[in-house]
Amino acid sequence: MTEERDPERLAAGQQSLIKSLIEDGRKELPSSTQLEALATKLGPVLGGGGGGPGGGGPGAARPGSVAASNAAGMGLATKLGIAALGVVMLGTVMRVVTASESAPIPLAPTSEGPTPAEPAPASSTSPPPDPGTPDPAASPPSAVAPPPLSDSPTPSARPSSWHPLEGGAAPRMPKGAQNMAPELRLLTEAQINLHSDPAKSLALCNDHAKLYPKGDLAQERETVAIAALVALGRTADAQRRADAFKATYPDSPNIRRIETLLSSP
Amino acid sequence: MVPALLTTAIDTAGVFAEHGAYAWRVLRRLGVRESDVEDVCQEVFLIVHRKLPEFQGRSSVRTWVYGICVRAASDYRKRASHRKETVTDSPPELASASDPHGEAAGRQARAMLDRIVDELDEDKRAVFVLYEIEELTMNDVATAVGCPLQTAYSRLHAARSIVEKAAARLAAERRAPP
Repeated sequence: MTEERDPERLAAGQQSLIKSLIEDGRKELPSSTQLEALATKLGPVLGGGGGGPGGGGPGAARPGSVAASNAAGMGLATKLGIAALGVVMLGTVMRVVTASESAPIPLAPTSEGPTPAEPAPASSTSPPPDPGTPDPAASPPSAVAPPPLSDSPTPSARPSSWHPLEGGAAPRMPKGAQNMAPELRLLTEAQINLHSDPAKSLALCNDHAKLYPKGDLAQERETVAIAALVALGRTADAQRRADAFKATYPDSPNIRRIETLLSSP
Repeated sequence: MVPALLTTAIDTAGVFAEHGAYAWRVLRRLGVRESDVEDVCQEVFLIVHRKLPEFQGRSSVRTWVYGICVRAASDYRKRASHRKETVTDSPPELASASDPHGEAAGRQARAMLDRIVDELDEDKRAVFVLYEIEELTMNDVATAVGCPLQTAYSRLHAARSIVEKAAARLAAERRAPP
């Protein structure tokens, strides 16, 4: 995005070495594997529940790091449980993403408005254990293997039918938090593809909308979808989706970004 | 009623989903070594998580996250400097016929870009990267780096001058016979 007073960007100018290097620089986005590793480290933060990963495991804060002061919130066992579960859930959603890449994804009608976020349920009522006491039931995320792949995963499978926890550790977190990691994974894929393949990004967003019509990341999904529509030159569809977004989420901080997207040339 | 901590977690996940990949990229261009970028990116999103309840929406979330990245990269470079480490990556592999997708060529190009932006001081580098590569508006650049708009323009102007000279030098090197 460029404002009126802003100079023309070097990459928008005539062909030159620096122009091509900048274009190459924009292509350097992390791979799915790299993002998954990062999401695993951030498991307690992303997977539901407050506080940082101060409890240990691969995502543990290094002494003196920014995370060291981020210990408020859930107890150690809950944090580690969420982190471990996050890995399981990420493994599960990878199947869905892989399936969605290999099979045609039906696009949701563009006139379909964003769905309101699912109200998050109350948090676990179990008291957090003493942060200084290790919980033998909690294992580090890296020690948790993803569930075996099913023979024919389909992108239309509802998350509620996956049961990634069957036979595994008992969840000790709110339902909304349990569903966060797969949602996150799918939406991150959409974001990664936004500039290189906006059609795929839009398809992933619409897939997300089908899988998680009332998902916790509905606002982010709609923002990415609108950006993809703009990138595809489908400005009327983008505007329609933006209007629906504003009607559903009138106080969303994403509205400013959406307006910027729509006003870009 | 949604507990505040859960709300924060949900929002952090959303910010990660939307901006995680770009935070990674901007950290790389701000000089964070490939082998360290995962750790620094983790720090960024832990700060996001901690600060999100205080986020007032005076800037876009993207600008806010980039501002955190700028400061995290600055801290990283100071730490690396303190440890007397060189904040550069290994030279990229040469492109070859066995690399049909041009990955090695892309890595070479990015290494060249890093050589060029390495010539900028921290302030100019941040402005250059956020404006030229990340395509923020100059208003957002100024917000992210925490300087007046006119200062950001001035830094961009100076950065471009240095970058163009460095690029010309590199182009001459490429043309020169081995």
